[in-house]
Amino acid sequence: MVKTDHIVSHKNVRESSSSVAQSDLTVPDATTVPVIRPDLTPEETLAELLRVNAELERRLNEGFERDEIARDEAIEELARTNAELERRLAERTVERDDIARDEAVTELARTNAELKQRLAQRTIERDEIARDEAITELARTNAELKQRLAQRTEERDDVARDEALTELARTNAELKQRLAERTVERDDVARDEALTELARTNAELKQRLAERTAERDDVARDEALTELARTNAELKQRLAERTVERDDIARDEARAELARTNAELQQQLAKRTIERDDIAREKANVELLRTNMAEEQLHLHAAELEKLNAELESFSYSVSHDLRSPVRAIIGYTEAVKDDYGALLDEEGHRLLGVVHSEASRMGDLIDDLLAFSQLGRQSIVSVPIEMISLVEEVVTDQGLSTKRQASIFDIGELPDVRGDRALLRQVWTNLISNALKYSSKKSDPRIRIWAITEPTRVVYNIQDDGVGFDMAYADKLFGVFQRLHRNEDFAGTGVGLAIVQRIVQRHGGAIWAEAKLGEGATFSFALPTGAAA
Amino acid sequence: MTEYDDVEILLVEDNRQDAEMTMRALRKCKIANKVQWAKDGVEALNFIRCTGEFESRNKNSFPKVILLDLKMPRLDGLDVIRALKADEVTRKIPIVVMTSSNQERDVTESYRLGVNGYVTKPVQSAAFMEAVANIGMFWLFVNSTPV
Repeated sequence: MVKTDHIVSHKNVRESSSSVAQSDLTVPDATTVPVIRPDLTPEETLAELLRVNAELERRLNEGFERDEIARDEAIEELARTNAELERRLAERTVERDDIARDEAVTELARTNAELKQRLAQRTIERDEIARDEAITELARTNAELKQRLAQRTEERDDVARDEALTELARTNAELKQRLAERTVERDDVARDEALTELARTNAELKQRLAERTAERDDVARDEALTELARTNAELKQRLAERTVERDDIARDEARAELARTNAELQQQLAKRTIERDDIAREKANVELLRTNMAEEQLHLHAAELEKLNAELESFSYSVSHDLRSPVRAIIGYTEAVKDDYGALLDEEGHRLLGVVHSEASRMGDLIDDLLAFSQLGRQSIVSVPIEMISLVEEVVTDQGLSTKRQASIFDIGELPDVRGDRALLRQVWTNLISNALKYSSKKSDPRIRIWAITEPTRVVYNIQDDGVGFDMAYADKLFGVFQRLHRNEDFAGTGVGLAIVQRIVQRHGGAIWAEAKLGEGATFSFALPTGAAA
Repeated sequence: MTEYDDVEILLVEDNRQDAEMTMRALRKCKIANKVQWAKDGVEALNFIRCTGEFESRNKNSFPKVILLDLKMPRLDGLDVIRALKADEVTRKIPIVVMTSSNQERDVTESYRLGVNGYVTKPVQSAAFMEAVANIGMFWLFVNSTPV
């Protein structure tokens, strides 16, 4: 409700105060007039009131101006109290107790009707039309203000409410003045007394309300509110009938307002929930970021390692590569000496030259093996289906044994096919088979057994010899580059063969291990993943 | 007619020992007197193009095969191949790469440029001698090139 309407309504009050038709008035039934004092009959009460009024009119005329201020203050206080109670009533009514309020309204209406009847009785003798007009206007204005007050109070607009209260007080004072003017002849004392009593009762109830409110006794406060409402009804006696109708509208509006406020609150709640979700998500993002950073660091680390590894590969390759030239020269020139000047050397000279030649040759082999090993790291795996049995037979044949000897040494069982790099796996078998032959070469009747075991995800290939074996205590050195478990005089070798085997198997995503006992042979096993090569 | 005109093998090799061993191997096949040794790529191109110290050489005479090392100072083997294959006259001279390198990218690049063979020099002398002898014999006595 805006200020403009408020002003207009006052204007209406003044302009319409004398134009309401007489038929709007309700002439009270004498039997329903409440007894103000139980010991007096209605007629006596009326007579008494008339008498007191007459007396008060006289006194009022004398002290009218002086009393007016006090009365206005009382009215203002009452209006404020009304407004407060009205607000609480409206809140409670709107929020959770429509039925209770309807009851209160009915009660209010009933009380109002009663009081109105009494008023009508008092004013029936003179100026009924004008007063009723004023009453009607007052009721309308009050209803309007009440509605606005309820709205503003709900919005917790304290300033606006204070303004409304002041305005209400002013309007009330104005109307009161007009009413007083009209009833001045006979009603002042009773009215003043009633006002004083009303003020006192209000103060009392207000105090009780405050006490009960402080105790947070909602039920008691509700009762106090109802009681207060009933008492207040005296002040607003002319209001009720029309207020009932207008209350419905006001309640609907209040409901709409409540719904709007609810919607707003829900929206705010949703917003906050979203904000909270955002925060939670932000936190999750931060966590994710941290994880990502850790992962990235890991990647960086891995990349660094990879780079380092590549550098190492490249280093070992170029070392091997550049070492070949001088070694080739030593071997070549030793041979040249032997060819061109062999005749000038005695037996010891030939022996010494032979050592130079054979050691240089061994160095050449070491370099070539190291070169081959270092190349394995870079060489890409070409994965194809491999018929393992034919590959193994091919390698066995390549060992240069007679067919008869070959048959007496080798016992080859079922070998499942796999996928892998044929050339590299051929190297694996070549190294393992030549090792088996080499380390069992001191036996007159060596046996080498080759077989496989199929497991759910891999095939394990085994090769067992009955040669010199090795001490398991040194098993961890078996696959290291240049690591040897036997002296070169006993078994020639560079110590790279098994390192190459392990690297090839690992590059296929497999694993290799060995078991042996000194003097009782060794079993080498390598597992390859089924149907795939890394 | 100069001392260079009957050269049948041009050996391009910066390593003196490798060059000496190569020529020793060729000598065993009785073809060493027809070998010209160039110590790097620049010298090799000067010989083929009859420029520099080889100005007086017969421009219409070419070796039957070039044995070419890859890692050399000044001008390396791959650049020599590029230069020779870019020239209509010299592109038909057979080139066999003889190097310590067996790096895949060297092999691939050499063949891409049009070499006729690629041999990794063996460390062991017997293998080395055999390889050189085989190459020399093949290109000098077995192979034919367009006139």
